[in-house]
Amino acid sequence: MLPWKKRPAWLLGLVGLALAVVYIQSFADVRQFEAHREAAVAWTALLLIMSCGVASVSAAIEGGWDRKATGPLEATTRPAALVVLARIWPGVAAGAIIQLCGAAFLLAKAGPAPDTFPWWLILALWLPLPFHSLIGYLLGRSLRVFLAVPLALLLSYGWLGFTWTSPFAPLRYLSGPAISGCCTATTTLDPRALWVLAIFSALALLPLLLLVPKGRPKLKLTKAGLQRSVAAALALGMVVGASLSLAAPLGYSPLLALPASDSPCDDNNPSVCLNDIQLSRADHRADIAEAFRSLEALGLPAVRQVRSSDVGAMVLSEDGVANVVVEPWMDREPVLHSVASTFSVAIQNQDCGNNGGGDGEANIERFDWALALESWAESELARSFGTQPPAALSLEDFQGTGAAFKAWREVRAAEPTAKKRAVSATYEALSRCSVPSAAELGLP
Amino acid sequence: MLCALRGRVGAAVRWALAARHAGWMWVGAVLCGAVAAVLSGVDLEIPFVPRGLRSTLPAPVVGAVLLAVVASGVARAGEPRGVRSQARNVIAHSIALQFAAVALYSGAAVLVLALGRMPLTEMAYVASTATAMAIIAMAARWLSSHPVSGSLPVLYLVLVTLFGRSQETGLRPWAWLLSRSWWTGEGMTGAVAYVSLGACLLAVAILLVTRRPFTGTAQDAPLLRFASSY
Repeated sequence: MLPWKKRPAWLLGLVGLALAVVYIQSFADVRQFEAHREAAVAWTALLLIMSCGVASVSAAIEGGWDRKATGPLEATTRPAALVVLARIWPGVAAGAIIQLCGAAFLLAKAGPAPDTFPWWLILALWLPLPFHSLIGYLLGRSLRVFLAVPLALLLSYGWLGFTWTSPFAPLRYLSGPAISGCCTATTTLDPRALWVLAIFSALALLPLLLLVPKGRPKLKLTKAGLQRSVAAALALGMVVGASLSLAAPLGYSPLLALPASDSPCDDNNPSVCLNDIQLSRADHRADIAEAFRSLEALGLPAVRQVRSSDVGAMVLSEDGVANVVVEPWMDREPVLHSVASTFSVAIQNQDCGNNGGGDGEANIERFDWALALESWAESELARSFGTQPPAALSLEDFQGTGAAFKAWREVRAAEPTAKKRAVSATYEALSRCSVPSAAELGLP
Repeated sequence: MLCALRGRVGAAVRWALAARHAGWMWVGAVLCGAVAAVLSGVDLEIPFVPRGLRSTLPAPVVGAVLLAVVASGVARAGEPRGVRSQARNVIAHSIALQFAAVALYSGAAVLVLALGRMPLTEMAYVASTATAMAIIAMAARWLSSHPVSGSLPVLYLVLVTLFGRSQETGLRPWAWLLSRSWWTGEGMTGAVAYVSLGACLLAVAILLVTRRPFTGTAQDAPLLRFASSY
């Protein structure tokens, strides 16, 4: 039994932990995971670069010790897996501690949350650690330690980093950091992303174990060594192929929409359906309903129900279901902005079949009108709720930016009835993929 | 006298190369140089930056870091124990070997870029990045003789990709490796690059003369003895 105290993993683990804390403090935006445990733990997938680096370098150093200590005529009696395990466990443990501390830190930042504790996610993010450790150990056993240690760090970093940014989407799920794309308040992690990570990380260990040299590595490749290398390469190819085919349906985003039953609707008019995470910090349902009623009174279409979904939902459906963004960190102003932008975003998302080509100008003009509509809705809601509209969206800040804003400034000064008619006419015209004429607006 | 000198130098070079299995390094340097030249215009998307903050890493940097690691590793692996008591200045051989690898890398890169009719600035960038990384690897040798010190160029690459950009100020000057124009010396980024490389060169010169790392050797330095015990 190797002594557990004198192992490089502990010192390297401290360095890795310090880097992880600095990284979290520098880049973790609490708005991404406030009141959402699953999102907070998923963010720790980015810390794999530190934890896997520690595991890999530690194993490379210990592999170097094994290499140095192995005599040319030494016969191995213990199975390769046990020999390797005795060397890599401190690195894996140090990496797991980094992940765990990162998760604890982020969960503390996320604050109290209504969702269940994602143990399965924490465990899944430990799975890449043995894989990186084993690669580090193999490098340490095969190369001189001066080469093995930096190469172990470079390989670990390269695998994690550049698979994550690979344009070939399935490859991203083999390494782990892609999981950090999870989640918003209305989505959850697709379990297939975790299965792919788990299956690849576990199965890839087996071919790598075949490569563990027995005794001191020889410079010349023996027949047995060649056979083992070919078998390991074939097995690794099969594992990669199987994992990629499992990951193929996932696409670029490993997210699933939460079921509608998680978002019960209230009795407001329109009824607002939000889930526990969205309601965990503040209940804006009354504000949202009142904002939609105000916009309806000003001439925009009536909304029957308000939902909030990030995956595959229309911003505004024909049967009057509006889709707004509501996150736990939002106070009243961003929620009102979300409501105000509903109609203009619906217009901008409309497929008018004339993208590009000679009709690009028409699209730009329509978008200009939609933006003016949004700015106006924003100002009206801010006025009735007594809040401050975002400066970038106020009509005054768009002085002289085209016909749409000029017309809207005139509409705003009109009588309430004429204004309501102009707003309705504008929305109708934009919904027909055109822009309102001066006559429709009732302007001279 | 000239013949005697040539004989001595030739013997030293033969010994230096034989002790270090340098053949692998020559092949690696040429291959890395050629690949870096082919990918010289490519910018790799940098991972691990927060949402909304996109950044890129010039592809030749990866080749330069790989070369620095391999050349430094091969050179150090061939050094006998007790370099201070050797009649030959083994450290000088190691440094010469690494510069030779950089020259080979740069030569291969320049040849490929010239065949592709690429501008001279690209050639200067590829060669200067490789030289900079090699100098950092040599300075790491001065910092400590512990095997982990060879990871300094990789650690620097990891740190610049993780922390080198900020949402407010863009590229941080210490992360000059991410800039394609650091070698021109312009701006704060270029100045920081040249000052830090100058400091590294000074460290290399000290190492060359003293043949002893800053933190001492395992025999006489408590700090290194502590680190080596882990």
